[in-house]
Amino acid sequence: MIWLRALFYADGRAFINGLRQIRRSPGRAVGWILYTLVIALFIVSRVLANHFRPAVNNTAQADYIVCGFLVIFFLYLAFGIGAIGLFRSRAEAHFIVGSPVPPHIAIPYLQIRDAVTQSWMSLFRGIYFLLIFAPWNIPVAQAANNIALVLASFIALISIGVPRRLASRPYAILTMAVCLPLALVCALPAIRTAVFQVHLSPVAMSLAYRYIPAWHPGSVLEHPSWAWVLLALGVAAAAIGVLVLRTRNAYPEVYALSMRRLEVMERFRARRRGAAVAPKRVYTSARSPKAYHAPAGLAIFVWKASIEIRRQMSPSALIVIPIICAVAGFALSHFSQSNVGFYSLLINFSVVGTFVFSVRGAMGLSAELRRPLFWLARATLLQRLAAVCGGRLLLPLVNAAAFVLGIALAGGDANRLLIVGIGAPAYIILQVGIGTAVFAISPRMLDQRGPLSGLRILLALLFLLPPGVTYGLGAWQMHSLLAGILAAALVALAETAVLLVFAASLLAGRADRLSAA
Amino acid sequence: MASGLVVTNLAKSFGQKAALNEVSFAAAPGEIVGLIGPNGAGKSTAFACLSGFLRPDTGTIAFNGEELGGDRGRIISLIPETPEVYPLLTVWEHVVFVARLCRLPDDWATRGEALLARFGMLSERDTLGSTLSKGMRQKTLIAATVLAGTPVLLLDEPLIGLDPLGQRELREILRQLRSDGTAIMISTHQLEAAEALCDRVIILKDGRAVATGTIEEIRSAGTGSLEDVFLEITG
Repeated sequence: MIWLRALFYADGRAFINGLRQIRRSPGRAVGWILYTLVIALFIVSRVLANHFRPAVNNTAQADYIVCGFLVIFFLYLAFGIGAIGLFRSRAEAHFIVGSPVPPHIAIPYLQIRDAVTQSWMSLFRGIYFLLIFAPWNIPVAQAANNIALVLASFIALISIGVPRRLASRPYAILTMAVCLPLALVCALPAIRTAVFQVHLSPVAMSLAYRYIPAWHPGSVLEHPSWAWVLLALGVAAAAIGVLVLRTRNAYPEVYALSMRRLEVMERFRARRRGAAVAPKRVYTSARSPKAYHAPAGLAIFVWKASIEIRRQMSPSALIVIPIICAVAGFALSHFSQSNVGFYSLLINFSVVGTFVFSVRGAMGLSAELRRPLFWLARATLLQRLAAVCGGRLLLPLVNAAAFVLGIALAGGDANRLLIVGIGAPAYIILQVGIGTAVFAISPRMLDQRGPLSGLRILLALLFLLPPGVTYGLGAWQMHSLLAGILAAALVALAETAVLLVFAASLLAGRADRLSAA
Repeated sequence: MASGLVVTNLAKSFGQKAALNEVSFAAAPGEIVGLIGPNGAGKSTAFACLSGFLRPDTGTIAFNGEELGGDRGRIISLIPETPEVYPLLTVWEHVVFVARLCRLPDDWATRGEALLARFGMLSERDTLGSTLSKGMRQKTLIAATVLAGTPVLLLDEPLIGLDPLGQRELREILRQLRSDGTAIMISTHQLEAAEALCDRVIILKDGRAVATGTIEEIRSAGTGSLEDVFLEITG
């Protein structure tokens, strides 16, 4: 027991010291308090609103969520891939391994800590999406049960990682043989639902009706029961039980796993900080012709981005991703004529995807700003920021162009082509502007994931209003959709310029902000 | 008109703590000036202010008699303690990047190659930034800034993390640049390195310049070795 107390003490102190660090900076503390208040207000307003809304059938959505989770769970159990480990740092590993705490006490403790903190972090990261996209009409008790089930499921998923990786070869093969078919079976209800929802084709619908049973695993969300939560926790407990049996003397294996995870994390952090870490693709040199047809001035940042993209992504990915975008555009144009649900799903996916891209892209800006060569040009910081953003837009704009091409190939109506063809690039550029401005407020990763992610969503909504209004006015006044969408795109570009001016004014002469990132 | 870099009454505070307190110094073309001092003395803050990474609270920074504004990347270039290059560009692509970014005249390729040869980097021209050692990253950045014609070079703790051969190569490069007329400032803890390399040193303590002069002048201010004098001044 004394050992567990020591482990609890170390983690408790680390948590309190982390909170104190936020408290020492009044600006950050206020940001976090506001963030907590906004989340609380949002939850309360949704709970109140649920009383006045009629119940809506969300079975299909729930089926997709539950099937998706189960497929991931069984695939994870089958292959045991990913960077997993239990020690948070080398120092912790050395303290614990060198202490008299027996492995069968320390390792389960670390596993439970890892599962609980990671599942909370996942909920924390996804809270906006949960609040925005979760159905509006569910009662409070059901919502509480669903959140508990999500948390318990994450705990179960995270708990199986280390025992699976430590499994001996025969057990690993057996697990794979059992879990792969189970993953396939779990995907079937979602496939059946999708086939009927999209009205794929009469033949496909007939096959799905005949051969796939009408299971609805989503009912665990719609008809909540605490038994499901207990089941998920039971799976986690069983995994930890296996770990205890397996780890009577397993410090070396857990240490090796943890060090591998730490290396992956350090590489990721170093890349974000701007340190020179090797690219994912393993090579050390590349042919550099003496005379490049490289553009002069700040446009060189776009040239640099094109080289980096070529070296960071495999040639197949460079071809496949635009093809996927073109197919998505084709599907949007083709199926949306008969299925509004599919249309809105694809639009939602595209909007959220672009938003996430802008968040991640802006987080990487600190790497660029730390490099001495970034500052070498005779240009203002604003011009340099705009050039770097231009480079970052290269890949998404190519993908957007492929998406538009897909719509055009499907022979979709000209209006939709016009809206997506001009609106999508303008939206992407605006998102990058918002990401850059929010990054400039505080480049710290914790703040970016916390209060600033809320601010980013708020700005994304606010900055979409003027282009939206302009579009309406333009289309109405000039009786021309083209005029409306062009005017809206121009307003979005002007907003992006304002956001970049704001970002440059905050970042100029404030390198200490970057050192905190 | 004073030539080279002239810094007057530079001050910078972080909250209540004054990191730099009205510091003044100069670095003439063809001179290596050492900024030495204990941890927390304000060396890195001074360099960050000079290069435009930090906005000083007060003070002026001038080059050849002309006061410099916030955008001074073409005049003063800082090579930080961790010299960051682009991991996915080769050494030669760094040269191309700088040449096109700064719109250099057409002979940049010849000059770039000559610089790489001079710094012993020609064999690494196709090597990606991610696989370069610290010494090679420093040389890549120095070659790039020299190619761009930056007249003032700041190096923050340049010798830390370099093996003896790397240290000797870097010292040789800095001496070459000095003879070319570049004004160089280095910050260091290593007194022997400062003694071997610097024409003048400025000793900082708690954000103040507590001693300035040649190594000999500093040494003659106290008794014993340079280390003894340094500890006496900063202790």
